[in-house]
Amino acid sequence: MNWTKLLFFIFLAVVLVAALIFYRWVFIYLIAAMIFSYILDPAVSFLERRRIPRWLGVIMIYLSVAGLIAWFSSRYIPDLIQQGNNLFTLLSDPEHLTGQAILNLPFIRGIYQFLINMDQQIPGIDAAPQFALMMDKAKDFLAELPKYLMDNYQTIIGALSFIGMIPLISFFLLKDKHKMRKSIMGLSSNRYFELSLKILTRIDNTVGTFLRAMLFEVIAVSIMASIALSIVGVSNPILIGITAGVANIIPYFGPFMGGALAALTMLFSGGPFIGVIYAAFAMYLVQVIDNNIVYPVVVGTTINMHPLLVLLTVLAGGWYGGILWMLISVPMVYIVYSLVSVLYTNLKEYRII
Amino acid sequence: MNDLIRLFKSIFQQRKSYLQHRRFSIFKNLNDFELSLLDNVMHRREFKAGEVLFETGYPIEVVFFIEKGEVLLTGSLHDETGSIVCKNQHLGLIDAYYGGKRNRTATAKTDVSAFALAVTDLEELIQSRPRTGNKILEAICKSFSQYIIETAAATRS
Repeated sequence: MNWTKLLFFIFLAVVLVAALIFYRWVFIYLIAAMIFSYILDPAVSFLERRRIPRWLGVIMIYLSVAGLIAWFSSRYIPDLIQQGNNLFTLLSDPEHLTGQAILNLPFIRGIYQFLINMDQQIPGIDAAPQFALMMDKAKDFLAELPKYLMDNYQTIIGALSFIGMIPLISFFLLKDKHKMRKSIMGLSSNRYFELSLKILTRIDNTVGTFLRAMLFEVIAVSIMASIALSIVGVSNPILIGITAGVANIIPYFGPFMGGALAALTMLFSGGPFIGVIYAAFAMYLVQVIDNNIVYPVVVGTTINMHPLLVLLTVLAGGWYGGILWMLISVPMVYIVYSLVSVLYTNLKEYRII
Repeated sequence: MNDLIRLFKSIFQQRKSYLQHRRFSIFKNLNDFELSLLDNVMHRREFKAGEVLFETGYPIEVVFFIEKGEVLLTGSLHDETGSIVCKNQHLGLIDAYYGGKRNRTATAKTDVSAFALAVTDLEELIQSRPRTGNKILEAICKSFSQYIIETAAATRS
């Protein structure tokens, strides 16, 4: 390599690093916009194949999505707010939810009584006081939740502006998809062109399919859970259904969280103990349908990570950043895992490694 | 006035560069719109004389359509001198439907300009627009038939 070429590449590297530093704050916007674009791209491509230019297709899809959101908001948001308020009141009302009041709930009282008996028979365990303490802490956390939301309104407004920016960036990503793809491929040398194109296509397909499948599963589980919970008479079924749908992203723990929320709501709203069992059974039924029909059809063989790796990822995500990281860690690790797997297979096929 | 109209037309009229793909036999029956869809997934590549386009045994991902220049094909399917593929011809279509590996090595004999089309993109186009797919597959069949007859004739002579 001659000096001019070397100098040029050094200059290029410096520009790249400077650009990375300058644009570091917008990466998160870009990633979110990419996810949004991946979800909408099949619809835009569908319209494109029917002679509708991509820019117009994107606008049409945006309008449709906005219409859908508006309809959903007018139809369900008042209900959801009402259900949210009910749930907060139920969970944070000091009259209903002192540590002692929780212990007086029939089902909890049963457990508490059992632990007291156990303490009497096996001295030194002190399980009952520990349980009472745990209930107290749970009460404190739930009581603080509305206050937390009020105190962090600035963060909430920031999040809303973030949400507002995403469609704007996505518009350009969707409209100029082919140009961008060509530009990226234009950067590769002839020697690595086929390999680069193959890797880009595989990653594009894998990530796109995975994200769309995940979204579809969330929607399917939310709808099924809402219907099932309203049938068994759990209060606030839509809110709990949506929460269960989103929580379902977390493998192993997610379905349990949804079920637990449904059962607890039934319990706290003073329903009979059999109602708790019905709620848990309804959520179990949703999981059976999801695991045996929705998941195989929608996700299929898209995700082929080893279950142990998935479990460890969820645990690590939970330890690292709580529920939010539990939610995003599996998709994130899956994408990195696919990247490495596609790279490894293809570099080997092309005899580069 | 006419000049003014022509000027405006030149500003606002889109360049229909995608029509150039009609020169390739397997796309010659596609209409303008179908060619524009095809153009979305065509990548232009330039090769210098002596540069290798692909080697025997490599997995096949793209089919090359030669825009200008000549490419030398060598390998077990050819005699020692190899065979030449030139302007408006394509490379790799047979390999794409036979084992997914390259059966020959292609080297640019002169400076070559070519369009690369990923097999997966071609398949997606065929599947997503069956009518377009029909036209393409029919043209591919014709191209293969022609190749078989020409090869048989060459073997007999």
